[in-house]
Amino acid sequence: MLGIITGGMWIVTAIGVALLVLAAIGRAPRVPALALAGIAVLVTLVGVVADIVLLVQGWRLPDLATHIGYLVSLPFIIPAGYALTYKKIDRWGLLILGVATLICAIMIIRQVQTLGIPFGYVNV
Amino acid sequence: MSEAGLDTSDVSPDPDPRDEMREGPGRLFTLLYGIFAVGATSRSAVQLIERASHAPVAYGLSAVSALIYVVGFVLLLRWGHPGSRRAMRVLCIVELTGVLVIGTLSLLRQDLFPDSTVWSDYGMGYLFLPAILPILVLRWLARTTPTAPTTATT
Repeated sequence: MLGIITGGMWIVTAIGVALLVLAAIGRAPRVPALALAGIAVLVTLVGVVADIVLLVQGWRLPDLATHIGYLVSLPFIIPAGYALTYKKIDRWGLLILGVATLICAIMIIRQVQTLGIPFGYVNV
Repeated sequence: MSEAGLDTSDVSPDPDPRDEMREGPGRLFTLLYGIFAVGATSRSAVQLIERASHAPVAYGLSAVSALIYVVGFVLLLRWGHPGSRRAMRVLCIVELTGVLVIGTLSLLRQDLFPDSTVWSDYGMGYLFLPAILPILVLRWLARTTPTAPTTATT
């Protein structure tokens, strides 16, 4: 289950970077760009479900409240980014989607950290 | 060709202030302020509810920073109201001052900060975004300041 969560984090990171590259280029076909963001949302949801399975199986947490906070807010980050594009997938729209996706990846790292597992430096 | 012989070719109708939010980086700032508002509020709420006596200064300052992010988020969401530009500028200055003062204090007076706040170490735990964000917003506000309409002189 932990492998699913961390694997998902790397996929979400890769998608975030891809969206930022598209933003740097300045434009991207609407459907593929949104499909990338959609995959990131799906992967995030799979990670959340895997995390819930871990908790149900009896994983002991140092701070349950904080962990649940991350679990609840994670699925909303990328949709919130999409809402703020005002459906305009221009350079700024792609940048917003990319930043939202990378924030989602960082929050997955925090999700893993609040499971009691050290995960590098990032402490968001 | 305009009436009364006046050239109005470069006169455009007053732009809707909400348009600058929909077109430029304002949308990105809204996202970042929203995430910081949720993150800082939930963080300070958990800290104050679970262990307020452990680090009252740090947790109190976390709550202050949360409030600033919430106000900033609401201002950006409701952009276009009279005074929202000025209010955002004041808010960013307060935010930047807070990051610099608390960042310095957290390095020099570690006894005051047994636990970290959002602004500890100049926001290092948040990839320095708390320090960078108000600077970027202030720059954006300066760049998008509406110019006073010029009057035609003869």
